[in-house]
Amino acid sequence: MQKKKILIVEDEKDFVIAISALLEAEEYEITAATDGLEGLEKIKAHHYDLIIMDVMMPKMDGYKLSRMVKFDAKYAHTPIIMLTAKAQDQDRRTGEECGADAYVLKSQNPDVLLSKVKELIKK
Amino acid sequence: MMDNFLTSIYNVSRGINSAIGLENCLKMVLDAAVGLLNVDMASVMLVDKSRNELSIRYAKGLNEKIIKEARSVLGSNNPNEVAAWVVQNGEPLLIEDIETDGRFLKRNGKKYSTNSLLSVPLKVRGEVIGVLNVNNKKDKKVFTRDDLGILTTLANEVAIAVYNNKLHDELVSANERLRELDQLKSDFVANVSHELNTPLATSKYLLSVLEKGIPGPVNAKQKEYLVLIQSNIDRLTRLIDNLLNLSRIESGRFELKREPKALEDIVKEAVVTFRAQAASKFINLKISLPKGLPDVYIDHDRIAQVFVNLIANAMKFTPDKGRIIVSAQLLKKNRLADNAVLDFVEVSVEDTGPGISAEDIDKLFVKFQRIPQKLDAAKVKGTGLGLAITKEIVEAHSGRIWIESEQGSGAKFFFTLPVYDEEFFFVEYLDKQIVKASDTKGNVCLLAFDLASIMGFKQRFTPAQFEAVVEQLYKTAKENIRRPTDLVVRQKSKNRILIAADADKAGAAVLIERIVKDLSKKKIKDKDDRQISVAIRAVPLFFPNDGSIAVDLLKKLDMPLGG
Repeated sequence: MQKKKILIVEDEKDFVIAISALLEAEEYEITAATDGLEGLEKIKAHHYDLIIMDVMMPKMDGYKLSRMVKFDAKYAHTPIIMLTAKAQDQDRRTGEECGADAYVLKSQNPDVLLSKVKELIKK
Repeated sequence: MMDNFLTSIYNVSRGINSAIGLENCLKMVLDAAVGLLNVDMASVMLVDKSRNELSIRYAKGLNEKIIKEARSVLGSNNPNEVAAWVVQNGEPLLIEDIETDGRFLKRNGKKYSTNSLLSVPLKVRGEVIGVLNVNNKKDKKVFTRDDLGILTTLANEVAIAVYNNKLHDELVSANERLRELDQLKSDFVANVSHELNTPLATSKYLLSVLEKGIPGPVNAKQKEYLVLIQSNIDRLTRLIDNLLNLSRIESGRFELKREPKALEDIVKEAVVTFRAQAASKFINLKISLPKGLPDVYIDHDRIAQVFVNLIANAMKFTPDKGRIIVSAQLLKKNRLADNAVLDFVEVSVEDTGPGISAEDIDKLFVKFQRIPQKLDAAKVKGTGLGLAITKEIVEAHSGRIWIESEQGSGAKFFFTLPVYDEEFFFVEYLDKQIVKASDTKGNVCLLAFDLASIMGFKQRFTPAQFEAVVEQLYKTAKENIRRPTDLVVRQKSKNRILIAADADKAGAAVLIERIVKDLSKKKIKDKDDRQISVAIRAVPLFFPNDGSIAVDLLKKLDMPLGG
């Protein structure tokens, strides 16, 4: 079976290494983009089964990127996980308004992300 | 004359107290002075401490150039200007004829254009802040002691007005500064949270990768150390979370974002964080929740923090091979302080630690308090913040937290969370929006769509069909609200759909139209299988015109329409 493809949009390179290591072990194929704009270009050029994105990023933040993906009928079906340190009151709600399918805090156990990835890719 | 005087003073005084602004106030006083004393000119001069001079703040009967340019320098040993003399001596001055008096010269050495003049100091708390001057009696008469009395009374009013105005200005700028500081602090908290969390998260993820043996097998000793690092990183994360939360609580920015949530999801999320640590201590960490618990109305992140704090606490004190159980039960019909009745879920976190003595239980929830440990001190660390914050969070949810424990036989922490009750929390929500709107001069609108109120409408359906139509309306309303702060509920007892919206009259009209239009497009069939379009209207009620609290607005709904 072909590997499922996940795009990670995250400006912290070390963190990308960490998530990739975790997800590659689960047989996912990982591509990374280091800012929102690069993320958008990649989404337009390739098919992904899931997008994991940070919120605070250079060039285009995760809220905007998520809205652009979710409001374009071509990509709207791609599930989005916001993986962020933003734990403030309003943030989660904003994330969900922008169309994120799941909102995971970076401080949570990596298994939380893993289970969300599995759940959303299965759908 | 006396009547006239009293009326003027009364008007001036009332003007000052109704905070009409300094400018208007001074105008009133000078109008009164000119009228009562029958003069051509009157002026208020104020002391500018930084320049050590007096300048005109407001005048009548003087040309603009003089108003702008007139200055009296303070501090000379022998002031030869009237206003400067009054300020420096703190006493009123009544001059019958300035030529004969001979003490004063006009600015630039010219003579005064008047013969008799009157000047009284403006005093606040013994300090002279300016003067009130009148000169040039129209009838060329000289000022009398009576005139002095009237002017002194007016001067007192001016002094109060100037002082109030200064206080007001200071308050406004202090508030502005506070707002800026508050913004700075909240930006700082957001930044710190991001900056601290990212490296921690990276370490956490990499540790998890190592622990799972992804890059290669790990031996038992290595695994033990990895788990240790992991649990220390978790501790650091909790510490940061607690400190940041504390700073938010203390700055009063502790606003709950409540939603109906399944308790089970949050418990599972929290417990997963402790799995590795529990395994390393051979602690049996169990979740025991009854099936079919209703959703609780909570702020997800805050309650997650409550669970993490309580489980972390239990973990700290439970010895190896111990047991921690998270369980819950439904408590029906609890009476709240305001007499409202609501169901709660009671959650407990039970450990097999050393327990807590009765006198220590009282200290548990106090900030920075830590119970002196009989245990191995190295094992038990903390800021003493976790439980204090936990209590704040639970109580902010109208819940209660308490402990049952005996020295030597483990501890059981209990807390309660309210079960989600759409109608109940709608009222609370509406009140919150009203409070917010009265601070920000925003809008709060209550809309009610009542299908049962349409004559003969309900009878066209079977009960099941009607139920479906109400549900359809509920869904349509939800789809059409624009703002995340707008809330839609279905009032079960009345088959009514209520909307709390941030909308003015025009906004409410647009919202109603959208919902009505959308609903009329839905294919709804009556019991004879004929397709019908639903024509429904809603009457919008507004804060504050229709009521100043939620209950008043809701009551108004039950009055006959148009009544």
